[in-house]
Amino acid sequence: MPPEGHVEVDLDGDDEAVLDRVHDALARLWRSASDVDETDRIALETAVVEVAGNVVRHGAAGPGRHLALTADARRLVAEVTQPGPPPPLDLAAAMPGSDQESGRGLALTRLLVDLTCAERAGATVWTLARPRS
Amino acid sequence: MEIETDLRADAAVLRPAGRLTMVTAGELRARIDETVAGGHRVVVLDLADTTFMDSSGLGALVGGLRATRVAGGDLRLACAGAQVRTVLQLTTMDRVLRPYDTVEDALRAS
Repeated sequence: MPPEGHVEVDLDGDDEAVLDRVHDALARLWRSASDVDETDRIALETAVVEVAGNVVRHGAAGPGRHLALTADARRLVAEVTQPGPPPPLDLAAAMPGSDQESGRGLALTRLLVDLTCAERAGATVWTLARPRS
Repeated sequence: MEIETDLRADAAVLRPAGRLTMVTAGELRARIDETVAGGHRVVVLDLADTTFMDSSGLGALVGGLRATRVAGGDLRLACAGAQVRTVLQLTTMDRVLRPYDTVEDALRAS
């Protein structure tokens, strides 16, 4: 199935530069895949920002961070690559209680997309997939 | 991020503009703390111009809620858009940070 949209960007730089680039990349994806509905756009954007934020905050600095976004007729997929082995994170961590100020990122992400984390050629690849509604 | 402040008789209304993320969450949290320290125990966040919120931004709201409650006040949300509401609902934080439709509704709530 040919993609309706495909966008790739490097995620180098500081937090602010990286998140700006993530939002810009998503805006470009929605321009080429213009029939993706708002619920799916919100879900992918929210999830990708969480994962990219984790990568810039906790991952190794330097080159090799990358984002690839694809939209086809059936689903939306984002791949976030970071150098080095997968970080020691609990992907299945439960949503923290309402008095906690942090720790919701991955739990929120898993409610929005199917999230997997794999090692590929010495790098870590986060894959976020969501069937289109 | 740009944060406009509107001081009312019984509350302070803060209007953060742009994306509330790990980049900007600390600024908003600091502004809420300053507002409470300035004697405004009830803070309404007018989110009409907040285009996006991540879990760090939500953390700033949780911290702000605690700061206002410790002072005997409250933090209330108004005019949140679809993305912000989605984050509040999925994290079930809308139970403690209920999004009001308008600033006036948030000011009247108790």
